[in-house]
Amino acid sequence: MMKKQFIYWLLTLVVLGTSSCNNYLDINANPNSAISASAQLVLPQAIVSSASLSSAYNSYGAHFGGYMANAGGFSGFGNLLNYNLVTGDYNGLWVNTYDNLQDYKYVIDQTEGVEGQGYFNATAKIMTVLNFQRLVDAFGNVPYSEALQGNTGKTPKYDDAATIYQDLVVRLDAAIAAIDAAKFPLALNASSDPLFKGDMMSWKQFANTLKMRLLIRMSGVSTLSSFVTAKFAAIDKTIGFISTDAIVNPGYTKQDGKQNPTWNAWGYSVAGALANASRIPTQFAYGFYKGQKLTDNGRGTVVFKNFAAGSTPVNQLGNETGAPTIITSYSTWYAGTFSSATSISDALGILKGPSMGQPIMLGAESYFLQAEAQLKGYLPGTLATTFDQGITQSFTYLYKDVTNAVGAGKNVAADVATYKTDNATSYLVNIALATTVEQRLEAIITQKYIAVNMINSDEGWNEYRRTGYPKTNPAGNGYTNIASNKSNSTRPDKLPTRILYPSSEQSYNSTNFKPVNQFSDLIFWDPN
Amino acid sequence: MSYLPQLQQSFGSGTTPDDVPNYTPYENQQYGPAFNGSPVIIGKPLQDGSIQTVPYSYQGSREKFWQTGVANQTDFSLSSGDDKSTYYLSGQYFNQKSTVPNDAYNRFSIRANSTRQIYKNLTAIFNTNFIANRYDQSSAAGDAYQNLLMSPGQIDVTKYANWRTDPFANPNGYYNEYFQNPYFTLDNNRALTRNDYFQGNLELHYRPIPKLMLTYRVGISTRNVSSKTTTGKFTYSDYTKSISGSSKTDNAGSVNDYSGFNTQLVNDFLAEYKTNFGTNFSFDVVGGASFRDNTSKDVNVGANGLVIADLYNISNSLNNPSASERNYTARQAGVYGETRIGFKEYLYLHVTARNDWRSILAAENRSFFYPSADISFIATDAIPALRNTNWLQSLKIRGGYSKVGQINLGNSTTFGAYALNTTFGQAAGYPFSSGAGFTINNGLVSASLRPEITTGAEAGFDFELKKYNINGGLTVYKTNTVDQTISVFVSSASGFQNLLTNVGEVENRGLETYLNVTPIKLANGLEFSIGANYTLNRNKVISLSDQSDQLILSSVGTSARVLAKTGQPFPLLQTTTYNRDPQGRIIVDPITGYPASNGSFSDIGITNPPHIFGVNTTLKYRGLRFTTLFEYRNGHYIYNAISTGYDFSGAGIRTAWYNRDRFVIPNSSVLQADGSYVANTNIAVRSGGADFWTDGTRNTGIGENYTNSAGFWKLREASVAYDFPRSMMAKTGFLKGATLSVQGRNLFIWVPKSNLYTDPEYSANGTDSNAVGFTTLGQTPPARYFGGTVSLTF
Repeated sequence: MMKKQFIYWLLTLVVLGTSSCNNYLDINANPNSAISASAQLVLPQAIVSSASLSSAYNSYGAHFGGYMANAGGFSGFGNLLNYNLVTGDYNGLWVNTYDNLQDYKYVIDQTEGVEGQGYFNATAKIMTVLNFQRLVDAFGNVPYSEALQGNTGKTPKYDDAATIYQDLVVRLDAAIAAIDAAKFPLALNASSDPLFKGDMMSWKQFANTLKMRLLIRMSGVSTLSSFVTAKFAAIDKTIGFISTDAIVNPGYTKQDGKQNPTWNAWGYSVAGALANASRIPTQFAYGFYKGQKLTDNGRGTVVFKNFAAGSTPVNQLGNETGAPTIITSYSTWYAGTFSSATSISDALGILKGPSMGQPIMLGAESYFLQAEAQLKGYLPGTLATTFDQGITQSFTYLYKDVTNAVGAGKNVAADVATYKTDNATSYLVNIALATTVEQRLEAIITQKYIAVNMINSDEGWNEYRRTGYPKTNPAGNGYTNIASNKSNSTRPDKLPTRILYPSSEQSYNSTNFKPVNQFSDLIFWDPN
Repeated sequence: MSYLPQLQQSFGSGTTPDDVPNYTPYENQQYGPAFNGSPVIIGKPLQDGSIQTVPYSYQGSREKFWQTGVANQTDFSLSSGDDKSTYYLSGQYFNQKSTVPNDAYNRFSIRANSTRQIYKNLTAIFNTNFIANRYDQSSAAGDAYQNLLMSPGQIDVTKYANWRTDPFANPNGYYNEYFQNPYFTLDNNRALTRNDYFQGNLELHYRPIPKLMLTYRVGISTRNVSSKTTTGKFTYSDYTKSISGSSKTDNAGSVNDYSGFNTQLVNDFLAEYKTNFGTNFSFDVVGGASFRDNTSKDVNVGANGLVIADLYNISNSLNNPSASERNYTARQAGVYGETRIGFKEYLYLHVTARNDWRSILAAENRSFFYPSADISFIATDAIPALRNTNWLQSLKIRGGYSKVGQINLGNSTTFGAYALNTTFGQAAGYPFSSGAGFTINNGLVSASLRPEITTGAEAGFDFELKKYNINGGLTVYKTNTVDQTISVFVSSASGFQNLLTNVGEVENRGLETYLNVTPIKLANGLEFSIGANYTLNRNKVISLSDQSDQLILSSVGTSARVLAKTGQPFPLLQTTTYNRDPQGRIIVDPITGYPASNGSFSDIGITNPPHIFGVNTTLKYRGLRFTTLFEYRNGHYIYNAISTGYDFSGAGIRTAWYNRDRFVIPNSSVLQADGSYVANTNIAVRSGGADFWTDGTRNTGIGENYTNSAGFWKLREASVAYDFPRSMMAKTGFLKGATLSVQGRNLFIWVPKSNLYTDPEYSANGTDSNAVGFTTLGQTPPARYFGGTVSLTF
């Protein structure tokens, strides 16, 4: 009896061991994660990641571009105050931008030459340009032609920044052409396109505006002047440029991980905790609102906490003696009402609320770029009108609420008019008063600097480095000196010129990595 | 505590700027004036206006914070049997209070084993073991340790244990503006874990003919884990917020719930045939097949923002819970054979061969074969002349060659399953109301992952002498491992961040020796024996991938990393170092006297010990036994990722080396206009206080400052045991034996002066990681263990 049972046992084992060996082992299909995804699923995530990067670049630009200072009650800022940068500083910009670019690369690879996928292909290319421009503006020469090759290019070489810039312009031309030439394209929609909800005209205008930004940035580089002139001439003016803000909103909401990234970084967590209490506005930026340099009660009231009362905490970067602390429970860039952790009102201004959209380029920036192009003769049109439209667009954005509609009781036109009369003698506001080309340029760039304050501060920082505006006085006080008062910079303006290549490159791409100096190595479009 | 980090005991609260150190009553940093014993206030006033005053002198509470752990273990066992069956039952209860305040651990285990001869040539054996572990621990011991180090020396932290009732200990009234009360940190962040193991196996031995033995074995081992990790909700009073504004912000509370299982099933079949050919040859052949199936699953849900304080349930949240799920299955099939041929009982040849198939690799790579052979020769049996000397008892000479294949993928939860593809996942907050959004994840996988193969050759001998029980042996070996499977970091400009690939070749050479002697063995029962062993391992990376001669395995911050580098020992520690002149002197700024670093890395050395030397002694006299075990390890290095805890805080001893005065960096030089370097004897650092010691580019970001030899001498164990005489037991009428013993573990450690921080065996990545060599504050101070045991046999 026992013996018989045992033989059955043995038989079972032998059967298991021979006939089903392959079935036994073919069990390696991943039940946890997808191993492929369609372009329709990847593109929207990539766009939203680019929007998150907008917030990250804003924080970086706000620090170096003179928008943001240390608040009282905190120490340990270390090299953030003296600009003795190390390769670890702002590593995330590099890593996350390339990570984001890889998603666009995947969309492009999936859709290249595939009939019906033309819009996905073209929009991924436009967003690729946006992100590479961000990289070049922050790091100069970066991997480009050999980048994003995965297994076949683990140590990509660095390409010349100016060459990358020119190629980006060419890629935008191709992307616009591809949109026009697309055959039976699958339309983008609110689900697959959280930026323009499938409006291809907006995409083309956005591409044109990006192209304009690249060309304007190159415009001071003498060796590229013929390229710039030719490419400006070739811009399809019937398409034009974006006239309102390019805003990404996939449905940001007050849930963990789903809040607007700027709100999440500088406003409040889902649980109602203040996201950051160690930073407040600089006096340098605040002076453009509160009368030290310009008077701007309209925007100031919606941008800063306690602006009307005059008790907004502001500081000079680097000053740790008697530095003001934040107003309890308030981000200084939030002008709404914090009643309790569970009751934080939506507001206007910069931090509107957790469900606000994330601007990746403001309409104001588009107008100020056009104004400069007009100033330099690249585009036709009346500079003063374009300049005023830029200011109006800035007011409009800041007066909008989380639903992207101008808030009740706000009158943009009236407040812009008040702004002009409040600063009746300043050519920075009334450009008609500017008597020289240089003054007009100063007005355009200064107004752009104000418009992108804590929204796309990196553009303020980029344009400061290119043009030297807004004006700074390194010997002056916090309202006139853009730099940290602990600066170790050897430059006249006491600022660095760039951030360093990340430590990850030093470690993992050491053959191509070159150390740079944050005070003497310039981005190619930086004249000094 | 067996080893506490060295802390400065001279300076209290204060921070930057520090041209003149100022006392700050609520500061965490310890860059204030020197202690002088006079009364000072600490913290800010409570709402009722009261404020604490303490003497401005060192209290030593950071040492007193850690508790004496207590462990109790009770065992019971029972065994019995007759000519056809045996059984064994045992139970154990173990209970431990940790050195970390309020942490506790309990273990219950039961074992039942039995054998039974079912039929005259059929025997069944079963073994079962069940262990239930219960942990109640703080999930934030590292944070608490940091908070402790952020407590200036004049504060007696141990007074603040009762934060629920004592207004000065409560977060609202706690003196420290920036760091929490460590007792609150421990209490408010808890992890309750249940970890149940069951192991069982059934074995059948069947001997159809006397020379053939068939064995079938089925085994299961399974682990069920569930845990709940909680963070209490804490809302500061309006008063506290009004005076502390930004630095004391509410904690919304959170709860995480985890459950999972991990099961291994094994089926083995084994046939062994033993015979002799004539009188000279013995022959033993084994053939077998083995199947293994590993499955694991876990589910983790979490919620942030508790509605009702102290109700730790996922449903008690303002927000949607987060959730994740993981499932893994991997299988292995193997067949193997083994033959042992003996000649005249002094020459043995042993050959094995095995082929494995693993589900976790692609079909074309999943099968791999590995053989081995070894030979041993017992010289004293073969050559009678040797045996007949009056000193040699035995001498055995052996040598072997082996090849071993393995797949080093994944861990004990994932088993390496599903590692062959780059994956996609929702990211950037997706899914949103507008739909789904996926990202391509950052892990690349090399096109064809293969098993790694280690080829080894070894030779050695063992001997016994007739006097003093002397025995010893020596083995020399060399192994070469090719195609190690490693996840290496790649430039993120490639679009990815790491690559799972087979790389290069690592060679290990070394020797292992041992020698045991019993020099004293007297008729009165006094016996003393001593044993020693020494191992030397030298290893080297012979080649890596085509693209690169170094591969980073793990990084800590931006100051240290562990890597494989061609031509260097593995794993190699590198850290950032100061800029140095060609003579190795630190270059300092001619005006400020400050050193600097360009952030590049320099080789430090291996993180595994090349030299291990152990000594054990036993002293016996009648029923009394005294044993010790010493160990020495050296030649390796460790990086302590603790600069925030020790130097940013100002608690560490380094920060007081120069009494917070300006000092000249030792062995430094200054660059001259002509490009030469001249020794610096007079340019002192601009500040010898917080501006120097807390600064990343001058101190805390320089990895070499926190790197030291990991060498040590340690008294690992010592014990005294006494067996009560049987005659005494017999008198009791019910006891058969009794033993009383006292033992200690991790008793003493001697480390080089350069080691300021901790027992180098406490590594952040665990001892089984390839990337040993880092410590963090996650490792609370090492403890010394003492125990007593009473064991009774009935």
